[in-house]
Amino acid sequence: MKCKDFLELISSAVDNQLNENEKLIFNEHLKVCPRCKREYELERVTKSFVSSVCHPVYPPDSLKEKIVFQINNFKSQSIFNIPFLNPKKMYWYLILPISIIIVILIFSSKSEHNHLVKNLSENNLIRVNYTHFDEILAGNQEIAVETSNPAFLETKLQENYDGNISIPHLNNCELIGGWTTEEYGKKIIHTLYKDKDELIYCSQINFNDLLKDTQLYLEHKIVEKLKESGKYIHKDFECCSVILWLNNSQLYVITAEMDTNTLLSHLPERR
Amino acid sequence: MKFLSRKAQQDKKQKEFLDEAIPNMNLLYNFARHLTGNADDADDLLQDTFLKAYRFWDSYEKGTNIRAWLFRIMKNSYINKYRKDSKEPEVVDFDEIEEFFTSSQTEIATEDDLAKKIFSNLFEDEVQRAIDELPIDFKTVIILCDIEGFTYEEIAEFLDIPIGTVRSRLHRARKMLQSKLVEYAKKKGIIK
Repeated sequence: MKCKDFLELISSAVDNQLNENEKLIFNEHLKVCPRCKREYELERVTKSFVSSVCHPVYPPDSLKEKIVFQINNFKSQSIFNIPFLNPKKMYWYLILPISIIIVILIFSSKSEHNHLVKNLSENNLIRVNYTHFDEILAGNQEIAVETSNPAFLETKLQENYDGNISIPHLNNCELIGGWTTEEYGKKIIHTLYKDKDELIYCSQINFNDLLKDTQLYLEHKIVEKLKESGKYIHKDFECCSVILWLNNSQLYVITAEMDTNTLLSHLPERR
Repeated sequence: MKFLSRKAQQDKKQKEFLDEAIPNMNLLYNFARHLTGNADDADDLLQDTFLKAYRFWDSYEKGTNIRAWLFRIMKNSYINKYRKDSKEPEVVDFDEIEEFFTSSQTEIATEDDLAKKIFSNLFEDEVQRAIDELPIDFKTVIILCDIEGFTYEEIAEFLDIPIGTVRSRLHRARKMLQSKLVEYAKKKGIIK
């Protein structure tokens, strides 16, 4: 055994992690090489010293309790906690049932398109994972309606939807297509857009239908604000933007992994 | 697609988190304590780690190594803070320590004697300070192996590095530590 090989095994020997064969070779070398023996002894003593002097320490009970308390009272980061509503005065006094569907794309690192939202769990929107966008983009799976023509898409989707449909026209984005689903008796329209290597997913549902839903809620003030202004409410998340707006009784929820300003620049002019 | 109420989702998440993540608090605190070197920073780091872990609980793959996941969060939190505080790790001169121990050989009878002389005159806070001054990767393996007592396999899994890297990193870390301890011993006049 050469000294170089020996040095590589020193830590394992000190930590008793050598196998029988390695142990044999190691000990043989130890007998004949004083320099390596010295290295080994030093490392052994260093470890033994650190282990004997530094002991595991445990958190005080008060800290444990504090953390558990924080978890139990964790306030979700919400897209509805928007600054102009003065968070100090905000309270959830009326749970208005709605069901908002959001997106989300699950993307693995395999595809350059695999970008959309990874963590949207801390908002008030229901997390829905659509896992088939890759397949759609690759052309292996057809979505319900495939078109680049919003008017045509509206007509096609109308066949499965009994409310008003207006497909938002996103500037400079390619409309890949749309489809409808039915959740708890509520029809939801899903549309998918592409902007270079980014995907933008948009879902829309009849606003009045959402208000009747008893399982989810949207803060009353937000509802009022939406009704009143029709303005976009947007929020940057760590890895995506979420934008919400109301138009002709349709609530649009749109998400993309891009900053809010970029996403807003793709949207139709604010009303 | 099944919708759960927000409250039900929160309750489920909380229960899972309290059952799976919280029991690792002792382990994490010990790591935090040795990483930061003081109780106040360790408290902050532990809180920060658990709140982050809770926020991103959905991204934890259930059934995988929870400790490794929490360790990664803690390490990253520490690194972020560390970067913000602009603390630069000290560079260790390996040649110097090599030379020191070689030249000392004539003065002191055995390696054990030399090491004992140095170590028996140093206190826990000095050792802790020496560990603090190591670069994060080296500090981490010392804490996990020499203080926590984990096996190489466990460390490799926690840090997501090959066992060979654990081994070589530990060797280098201990050399660095020796260098630091010698430095302190010199300052205290224990050795010349």
